[in-house]
Amino acid sequence: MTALALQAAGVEHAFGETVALRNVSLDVPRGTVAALLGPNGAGKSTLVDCFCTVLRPDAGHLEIGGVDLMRRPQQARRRIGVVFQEPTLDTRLSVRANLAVHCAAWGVPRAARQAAIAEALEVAGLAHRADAPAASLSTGMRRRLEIARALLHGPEVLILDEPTTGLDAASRLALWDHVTGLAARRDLTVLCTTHYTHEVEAADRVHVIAEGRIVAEGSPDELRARFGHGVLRLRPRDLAARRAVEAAHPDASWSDGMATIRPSPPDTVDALFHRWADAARDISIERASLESAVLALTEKGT
Amino acid sequence: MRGLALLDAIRAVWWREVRRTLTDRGQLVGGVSRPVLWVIVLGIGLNPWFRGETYGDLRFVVPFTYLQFIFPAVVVLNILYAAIQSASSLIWDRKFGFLRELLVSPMPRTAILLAKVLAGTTIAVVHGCLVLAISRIAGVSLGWDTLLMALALMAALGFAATCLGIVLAISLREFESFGVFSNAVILPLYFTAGSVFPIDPSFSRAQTLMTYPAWLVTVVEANPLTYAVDTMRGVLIGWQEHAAWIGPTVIGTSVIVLFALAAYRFSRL
Repeated sequence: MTALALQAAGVEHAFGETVALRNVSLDVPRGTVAALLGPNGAGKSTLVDCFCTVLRPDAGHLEIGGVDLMRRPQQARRRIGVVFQEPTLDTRLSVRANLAVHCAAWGVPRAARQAAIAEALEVAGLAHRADAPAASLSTGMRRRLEIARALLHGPEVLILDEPTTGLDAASRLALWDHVTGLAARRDLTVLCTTHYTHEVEAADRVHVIAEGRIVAEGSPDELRARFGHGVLRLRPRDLAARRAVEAAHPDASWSDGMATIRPSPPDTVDALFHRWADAARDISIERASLESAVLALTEKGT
Repeated sequence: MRGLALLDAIRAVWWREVRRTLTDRGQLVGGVSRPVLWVIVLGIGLNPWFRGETYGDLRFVVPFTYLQFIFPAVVVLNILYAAIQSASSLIWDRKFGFLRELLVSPMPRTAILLAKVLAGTTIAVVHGCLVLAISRIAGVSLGWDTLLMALALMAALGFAATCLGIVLAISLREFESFGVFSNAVILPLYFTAGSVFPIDPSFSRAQTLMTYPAWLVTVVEANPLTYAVDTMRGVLIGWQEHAAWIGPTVIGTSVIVLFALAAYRFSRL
């Protein structure tokens, strides 16, 4: 059994003149939670469509659990559970009927269906709404149902394409807790796309995509450390100190006697802190956020 | 996916479609109101005017009332509408995402298509039966043998018409366009299929061309639905204009060609 749950190598795809994916390569080890992070139109959903076999890439190689997606798409589809960005429930059917259709379409053995559906209802927290029409569920409930449905056939990999779209902040957090909890309990591999940086904090590995290219990858901490820009805030002790700061950092922004300094490589925010600590009446470091790291990366990419 | 699991998957998708449509009151109202309008209003209204007529040396020899004459055509019309309308579920599924859910399942695309076509066929047969239910009003008596033949013919027609509807639905992404476009296909097909007027079989071709404009005769003869309506007449009232083998041959060919076309378009979704 290969150690990689998902593998993309040199994947390219264009819609007419618009190039959506440019030589995309990524590896997702088994049992990990990977995030594909990037702005709208970066190519996240196109890559997901390629992994789901909905879209055949123009070039490159894709594997799920060692199964070649181009050669054996049906076998590959058995190994994945997918939750698309747009809802895919049949809202005219009941919650239970939606799950039953999925079981049949994925070939879940008849004898195992009742138990699988009961477990899915439990996982989604919707056992009490089993016979209600899917149309009567809230957006958050529908998302939970779609995730539970995607897991009905026991996939190795769960692919979530912007699953928090349309959810409020509390529901987004709850959904992420739900997904990471499921991943841990079931030893699932998760690939999730999003454009919200705070949502990928729980991911083991983040792949940042911009303009169809993977521009960086690493854990959230690694990305912060490598690409994030912390800033130093200081209020000079006296006029001489202020002039020295102005001379050393002409790009610093000033407000109410307080300077905000962004370090220029190879300087680091910590080095600046030590340099100016004695000259300051008031000094603090604002650490790099993942958002600033991603912003720097995607701006550079664009 | 193969064998029993595949059959079960097809059954599940088929049942989902059938259940959705048969619980849709709008479609059922359409399925009932069409035959009521065509058979009871139009059929009874025109019945006195449909009789042996003489034009010079020519005399029409259709030995039936207009109600009996139009009844099989209304069965075909109801099947056409129901089948093509059921194909609009593809637009719904595409718009609201359910189709994507199916496309990432291990079901082969042809199996998904087959399930949808069989569902459309089932719905069409049900709608055809709604017309058969008022056969007594039209003065058409149905024996068991007639009924079984009619069901088989309705199923074949429903299958072909659903395939045609799916080809349309794949090309048109909006419900509104589909509604307008399907009417633009169904009604011309229906009116030029010898549905509401006969081209008398006792005429020679020269006599036919003396009675009707040549373009109309050509269109009627080229329309495959002409032979479906004709075959349905043969089954239900025992009278048809064309040789008995032509209808089944045209319908069988349509089933194969339209399914192949639908499968090709569906594979490229």
